[in-house]
Amino acid sequence: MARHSLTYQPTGDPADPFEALYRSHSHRLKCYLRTRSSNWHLIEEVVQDTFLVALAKWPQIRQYEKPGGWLYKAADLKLKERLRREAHCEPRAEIRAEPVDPYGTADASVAISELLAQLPPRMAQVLYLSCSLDFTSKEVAQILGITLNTVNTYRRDGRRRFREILERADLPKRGA
Amino acid sequence: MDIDEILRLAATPPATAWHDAQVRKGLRQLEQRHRELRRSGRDPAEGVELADPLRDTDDEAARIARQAELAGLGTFTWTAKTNLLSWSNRLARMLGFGPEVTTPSVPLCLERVHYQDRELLTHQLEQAWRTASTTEVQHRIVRDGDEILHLHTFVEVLLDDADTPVGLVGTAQDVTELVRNQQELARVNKRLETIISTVGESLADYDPHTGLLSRRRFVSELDRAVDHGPGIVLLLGLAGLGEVNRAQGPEGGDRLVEQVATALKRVIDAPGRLLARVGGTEFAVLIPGVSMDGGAAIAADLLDVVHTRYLSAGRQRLDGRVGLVEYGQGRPESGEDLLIDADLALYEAKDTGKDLASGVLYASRRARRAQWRERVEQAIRLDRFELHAQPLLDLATNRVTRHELLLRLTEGNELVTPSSFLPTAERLGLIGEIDRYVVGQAAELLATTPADLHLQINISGGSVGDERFASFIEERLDHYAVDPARLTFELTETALIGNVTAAREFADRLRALGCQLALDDFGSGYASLTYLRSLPFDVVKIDGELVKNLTSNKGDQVIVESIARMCAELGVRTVAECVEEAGALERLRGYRVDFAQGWAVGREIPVRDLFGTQKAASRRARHRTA
Repeated sequence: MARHSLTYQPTGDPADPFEALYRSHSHRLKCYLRTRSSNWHLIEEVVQDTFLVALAKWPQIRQYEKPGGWLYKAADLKLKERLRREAHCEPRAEIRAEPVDPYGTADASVAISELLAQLPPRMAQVLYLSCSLDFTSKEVAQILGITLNTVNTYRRDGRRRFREILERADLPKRGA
Repeated sequence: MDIDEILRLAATPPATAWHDAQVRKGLRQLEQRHRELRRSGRDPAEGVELADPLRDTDDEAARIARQAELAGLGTFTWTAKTNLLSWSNRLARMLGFGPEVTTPSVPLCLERVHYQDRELLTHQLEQAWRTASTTEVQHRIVRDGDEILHLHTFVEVLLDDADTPVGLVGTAQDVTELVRNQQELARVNKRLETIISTVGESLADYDPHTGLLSRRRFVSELDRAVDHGPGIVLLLGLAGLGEVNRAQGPEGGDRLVEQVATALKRVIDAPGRLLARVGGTEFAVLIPGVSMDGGAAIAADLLDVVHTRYLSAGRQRLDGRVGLVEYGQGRPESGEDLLIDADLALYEAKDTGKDLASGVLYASRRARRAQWRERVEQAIRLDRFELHAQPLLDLATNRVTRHELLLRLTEGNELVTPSSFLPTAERLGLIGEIDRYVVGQAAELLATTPADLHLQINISGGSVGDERFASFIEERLDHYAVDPARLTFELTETALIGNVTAAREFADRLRALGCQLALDDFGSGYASLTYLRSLPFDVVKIDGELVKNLTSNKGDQVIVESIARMCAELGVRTVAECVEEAGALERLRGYRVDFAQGWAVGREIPVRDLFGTQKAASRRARHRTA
């Protein structure tokens, strides 16, 4: 199969496992990483870098029952590393701004991830992985490298705090 | 919609063709990068943990410690039953302990915590233990005597199978660089705000070209002077500068104005006398304790100075007119009113062809207003207003995609700049008629020009506060069937002062209509940032004084780049005004400024020359819409 010989070529086939993984998770991964950074350009880069590793190691990663588990963990670590490196760069003058939807599409998933980003990063990640995606609490603990107790606590507290954020955000009511 | 539904939406990719295209593009990019990596032999997975985290069978503490190590974090574990603490080598190094310390302990750890943070950290740990919850705390570590490190510590409670707390596990990240950068960032931002305020203050009080007082400052000085006895106010208007500007560029006009200012200073130089530049071609003089006769003599001296200047190559002399008024005749006059009266006198001088006209002091605001209304109406009726267009270059595409409409007033053979007449029109409540005139002309123009032409027009504070003005705009655009997205309204900070609520309503209405809004002269005032945060601007125009010397002034470079970055973060597009050097264009492009405007891009041209005769265009439009 051409995919794992020398180079990868998109097949355009939605059933192709790698392309299916990319279609299913590339956008979700961006929304997930938004909980840690408001720099969408950086997020885009990290997501592509993570998928590049997945592609290079596809024979191994495709064996996983849920390759998504590895994806979210690897992307999170990559982003942290990039943020750490940037923290060592010379600071530049900037005035903090409200993040903007880079897609200009008023897309619901982006808008909600912007709201999730108002929570502490780890709490937002727990909510995203356990409530937006379908990872179990134990899986979330494994992906994030935290205790099950923390996942359960953050899940409970996070939902409460997110509800408050939603109320403050004054989202349009259904049918409005 | 319940919270679970909303959270699930966060993981629902948009079902749009645009999203599909993004996915395809992403896959193509991966293909290309993968091919390049194969060719170069580099391994993108180097240093990346590839194990499946979901198959991890370690106990919690071991798993957390291992993952933290991978992420470059220090870890510790404390067991309640034994009160034993263990830490990773990385954490030991963070705390400044060498290999000789073989028995970690809680007191040993706390000893290294900065004394001001110790209580907070202890409290957080105790609370986490008591409530079996998780806590995060940022604190300082003091090691090797005086070295301070900032750590971010994340502490979790370990539970046994019966959910009883049995210990703590913590990860610590060295965030010293991050904290230092944040502190430095705060300092730089503070400095930036100070610079902007300082620049704004000096611009507000002094004319940057001549160093003379500004109109604002002059009026304020005049207010004080009228309380201390009689005197005179002279307003000197120069004629012929337009030709210099056309022939030599704005630098030529600026040079001549600077020369005249220097010469006028010598005539006026005496204690108590003040000289100001109150408009592009107008100077005002305050002389206390002098009568009208004395004032006329000084006016003659001033005109002599003007007449000795040549417009170009010694062929034609600079010309001028003077309006003169006396104050302190028993009536309380404000500085602004006096200046308006002097302006009316100057207008009379121009109209009658005299060098000097002595004005009357209008007894009431109503009388002044009537006089000025006649002037404005006459200007509209006699086509004395003229619209000029100056191009805006889209720096990303290097194409002119917009024009700003600039209003000029023709009096005699002279083009008068707006700074000479708009402040008075605004003060007397006549600005609305001028704004309506401009909007009407712009709408007509858009109706008669190609659909890709975009115009930017200036709106005064008076119109922003006029509830009927937005309706007028809507009606005009509708009348000419013009796409509102082709029009941007520029508002200055001055127009917004005291008007924010009205401005908000105005802005909302215009944006609902589809028009765009620009914040003009950004960086020239005190509160630009406040307005940028509180009003929905689409465009910010960076004040020309910050741009003019961009290639040589390091301070301006820092400010302009920062404004551009800030606006990009806010999703607001930027225009650099007064771009006069070709070298500045590349720099602005590097700063990701969106548009450039100024002589390096293109001069202002009468609309009739650029788009065909304005009147003819208007007639065509009327014919089409009839």
